[in-house]
Amino acid sequence: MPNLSLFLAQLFNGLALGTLLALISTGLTIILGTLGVLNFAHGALFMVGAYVGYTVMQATHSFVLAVACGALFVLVLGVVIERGLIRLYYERPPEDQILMTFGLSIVIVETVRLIFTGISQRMAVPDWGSGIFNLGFMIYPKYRLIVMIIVVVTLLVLYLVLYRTRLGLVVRAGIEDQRIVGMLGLNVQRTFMVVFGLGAMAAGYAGVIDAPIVSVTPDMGQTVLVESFVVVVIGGLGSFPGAILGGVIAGEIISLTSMFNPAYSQVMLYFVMALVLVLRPQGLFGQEGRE
Amino acid sequence: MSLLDVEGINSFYGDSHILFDLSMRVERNEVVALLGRNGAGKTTTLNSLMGVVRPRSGTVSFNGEPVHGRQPFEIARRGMQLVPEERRIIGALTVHENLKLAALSAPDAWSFERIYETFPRLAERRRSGGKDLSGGEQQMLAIARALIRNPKLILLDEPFEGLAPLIVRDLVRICGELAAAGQTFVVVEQNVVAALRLATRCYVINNGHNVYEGTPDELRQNKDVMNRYLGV
Ligand SMILES: Nc1ncnc2c1ncn2[C@@H]1O[C@H](COP(=O)(O)OP(=O)(O)O)[C@@H](O)[C@H]1O
Ligand SMILES: [Mg+2]
Repeated sequence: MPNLSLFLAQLFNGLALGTLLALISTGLTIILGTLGVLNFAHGALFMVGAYVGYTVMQATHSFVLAVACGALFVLVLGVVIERGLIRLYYERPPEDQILMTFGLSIVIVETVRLIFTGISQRMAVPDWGSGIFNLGFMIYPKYRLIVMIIVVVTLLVLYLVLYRTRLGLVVRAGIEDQRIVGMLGLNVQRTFMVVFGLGAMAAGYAGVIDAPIVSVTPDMGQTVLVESFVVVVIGGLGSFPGAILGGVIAGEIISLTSMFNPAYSQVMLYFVMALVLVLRPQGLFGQEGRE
Repeated sequence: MSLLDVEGINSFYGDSHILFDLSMRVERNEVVALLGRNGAGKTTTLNSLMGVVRPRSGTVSFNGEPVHGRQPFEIARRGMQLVPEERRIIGALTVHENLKLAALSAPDAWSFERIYETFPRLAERRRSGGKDLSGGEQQMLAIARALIRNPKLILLDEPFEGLAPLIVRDLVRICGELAAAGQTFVVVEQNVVAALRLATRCYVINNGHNVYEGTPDELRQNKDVMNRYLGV
């Protein structure tokens, strides 16, 4: 039987995983809510962020530069993808969009495999992040602790952008009804481009800061993609608070189940998702009746 | 030059032809009523003006500039505002945020104070969520949201539909005051009496054809048109 300190440790691990999932899922859910596009390439964008971060870290040994380059690269990639591809699919049925973004993710993953081979890479932990920290109830790697703080701060910044800026106002309105936003003189198409870029950037940024913790491989985005979908379903499509709560719930489920048997953590995640779908089909924070 | 000049537009939903060579014009400071039975094509007409529906042929000139084929946001920026039948209040935003959203891209927007003076009820409800408003409050907000942009032309689609008589009277009074102050309106209404009270001129649409044009007095006396197309 697991003891209390192990339980606390796993609870904390779950929180760390959960905040990261929350960050990745906010991008996914806001893209889905605003553009109506389920982006199957979101995991691939996460992976690209990790590889750009890894490469820049190798070359410059600067973590800040790695994060900045990774985030910016994926932001630009996101804008290019939106203008070049996604834009052409807004009027198309969802299955076309899914096929297109799914195909795109394969292209991205295989391109990265071509450049970096499939061998897993390790991104160095920055100097200030090496070592451990005593939390009292457990010893925790310093870098992971700092990442958690960075992620929480980033989520706070995203919250402020969404709830305190003009762009955020347009996005929140656009999630509910893009037609009226257009009729009120706002260029929804341009907002879509910005939202897709920022959503992609959130994934890429998360990829860089997660890279020193996990192994960097071309397929690292797949699990992340699936888990973020679950988070979005649990939290409610298009809901920012939903993505955060859903992320933490998913992180805790994975982490606490692993304590008993890691093989069941994904199963448990789907079980909880199914439970939410039965009890509250629109998700915890979702609005009833929206598509 | 009229504020709005519509020449022979034909609008479709998919393959179904809805508007047939429809023409109309609106002068500055007019209140034009657009009347007709359910399904006559009134909403489609307003949507065709606003760019929500693109007419397949014909022209729409607004303030001297052709706008057909333009997107709704471009037409809105030129000073036209549609208050849609469904009102489309953003439920996730507060009353104040709905107004703020509307004012974002208007260079010459009204102040919030002026809007709240015009609609005191909205001032009381400014922090309420859009989804928590009553039907009357939603309609006020929908009109206020158009008004705050200080548009040259406001298109009202069935603004009084489903509202209590007292609220209808209030809204008619407010719209009347705005019109007296020079605001130009196109009003679509099933409530012919209320519409004719506001209007300075009216059109009757039937099966997507413009079948009558006249003043409210002329229309009231034209029993044939009233009977045949409006069922009054
Ligand atoms: N989205 C749509 N798709 C297909 N037909 C439509 C659509 N909206 C309206 N119509 C049809 O167009 C005609 C005119 O509708 P509408 O302009 O809404 O009439 P009104 O506003 O005068 O009641 C009706 O026959 C209606 O059934
Ligand atoms: Mg109608």
